[in-house]
Amino acid sequence: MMRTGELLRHLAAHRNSTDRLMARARTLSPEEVEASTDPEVLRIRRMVLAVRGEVCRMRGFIRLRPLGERVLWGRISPHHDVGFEISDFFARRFPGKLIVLGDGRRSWTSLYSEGALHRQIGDGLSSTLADISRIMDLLAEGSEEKGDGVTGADEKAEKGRDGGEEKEREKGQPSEAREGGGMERSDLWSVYYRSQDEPRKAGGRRYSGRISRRAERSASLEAERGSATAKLEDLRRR
Amino acid sequence: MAISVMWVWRPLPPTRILSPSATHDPISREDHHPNVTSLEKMARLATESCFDSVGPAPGRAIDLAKVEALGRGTKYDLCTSSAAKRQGEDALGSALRGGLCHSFTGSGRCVSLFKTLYTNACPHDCGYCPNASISAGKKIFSYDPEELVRITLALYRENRIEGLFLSSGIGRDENETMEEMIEAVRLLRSAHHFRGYVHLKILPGSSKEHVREAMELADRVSVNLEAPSSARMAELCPSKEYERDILARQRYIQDISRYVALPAGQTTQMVVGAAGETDREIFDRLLLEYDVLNLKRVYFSAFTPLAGTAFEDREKAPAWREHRLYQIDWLYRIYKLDEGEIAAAFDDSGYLPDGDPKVAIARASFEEPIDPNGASFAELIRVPGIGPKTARRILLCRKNGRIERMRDLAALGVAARRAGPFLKVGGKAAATLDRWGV
Repeated sequence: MMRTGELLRHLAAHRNSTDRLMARARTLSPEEVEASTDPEVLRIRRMVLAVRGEVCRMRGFIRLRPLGERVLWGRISPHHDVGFEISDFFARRFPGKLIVLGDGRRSWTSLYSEGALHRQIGDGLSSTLADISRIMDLLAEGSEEKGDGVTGADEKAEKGRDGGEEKEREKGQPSEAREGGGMERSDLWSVYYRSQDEPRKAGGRRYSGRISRRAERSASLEAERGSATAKLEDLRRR
Repeated sequence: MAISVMWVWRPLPPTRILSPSATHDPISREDHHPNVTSLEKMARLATESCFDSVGPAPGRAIDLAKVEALGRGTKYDLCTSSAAKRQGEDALGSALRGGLCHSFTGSGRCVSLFKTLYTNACPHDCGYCPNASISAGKKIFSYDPEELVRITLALYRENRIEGLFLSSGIGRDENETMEEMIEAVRLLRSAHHFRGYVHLKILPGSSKEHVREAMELADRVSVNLEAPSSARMAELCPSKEYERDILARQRYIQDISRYVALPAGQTTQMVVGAAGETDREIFDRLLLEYDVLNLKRVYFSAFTPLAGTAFEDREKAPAWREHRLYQIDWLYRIYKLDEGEIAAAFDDSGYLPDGDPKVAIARASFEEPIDPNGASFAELIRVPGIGPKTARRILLCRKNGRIERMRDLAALGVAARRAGPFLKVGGKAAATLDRWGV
């Protein structure tokens, strides 16, 4: 049964939520929400389930990529206002990492550090990542001046690796060509996914019935779709 | 940078959330955009953090041929959930109470774990298994613990997976291989603070000490039964001793779980249709597994003949047989129907026909349609199209008034088309049982 606090939180996050529905929801007991056949209560229940469903799908289908040592970013474009629910989830999973999620217009940044959760909302994924890169560079320069250049050096080395990967991917070289020198993470996933894949069966609930086109695009499921999609550069161009 | 600590399940300190919307449940829609901590401060905190929760970046090259071969070796191993109920980890546990699917295969099967063999070397001669010692053209691959950890962390950090499912061939010796598998999971848990889900296979013949160590680290452990009896096992795999290699290890797990918490419990898996076993034989084994050994789940895998194996010329088991067995499993485990009632679903030769077993059981047990306003919970859940959750909703709804329309039942979650013939709503039945073709 849905707890009242959770119900209100998810109803407030729904894109079509209204003050009237919120006021009605506040009067409902968990039993009424669960078992009422009243059309408005049914509507509230469906709206809450839609938000919960989106949270669950986003948690599963988002793909995170590193930007330096301390940032993991991913593209999401949720229908409902669930950005922080997702970014907080990953911040708790990866303590000490800045989790930056978003699309061309919005971004949600969360950090879990020493028992506290910090949050920031931004105007877009690319601008937030650019801001963070700039701040990280300044911090690295500051620590170098103090004689402690380890973090900055690591940061730049990692950025160099990422940049190199992007360039190689753009050249469209086959994965085998890079196998000896350095593996791309997407190659590892593609190879593993292919080892588990089974042909689409007649009848049964197939791949396309399990995941929407929108979620596919949002998660950039290259291996599953058989084609490469979004890169950080694409996001910057949008 | 990794910090070495011993892996222990322990509650983490309560989280302080530095934003107005999260400290209270929102009471208005405008209360959803906190903007409290500056990016500068967050970046500084992240830079100062000495805690690396995702381990090292990929270093030396990973052998992708190995990833492919050892991944393919577990293609028919089943792990449909990554949910774990860990004590004291309500706030920060990375394994959720409900599992997450991260992707799906073409056939629709959920991919949520990095499912792999540790090694595909195996002295056993299981007729269905591509890793059997006699399999034609088999190239041997093995991971080392550090390599396996690196791959798992790389996939976990990208959110491709929810955790690790680690199975294996026996290798040179079951205890030696088991030790290396445990070492890999220990590295994940202790050196890299990995809080994701881990399902660890117990190899047939492993020592009790290794079983205990595995249980201390994993969320779920399992020993594959493969066959419903020792006679069927002799046909599937003559080199395995059913009682000693399999059942004794399941009892070890049951014994140890009295003092070592296993968050997602013990499971097992059976191959269906490879050794001529009937569905009734499988069901009888399932009863023992649940009632005597307290297993959490029994999984079924319809036999598929693979090229190069001893059984490559045998007939493929139909996928629907696996599906019907899962329905029977569900009726026993979730609906709590008793063995005698479920027996009505089997035909005279002990097989399940290709039809919904719940309909067969309902036809055998209902003499006439029931009124949802007066039916008990036990009666309601026996109606096809009504599950335990919907039955509970009907009982709650009845407290406020009578249910007089089929569409009210549909609003509560009843599958009206399937349930209609078994229900009398507003004084009349939607259709007779005889008219409902089965």
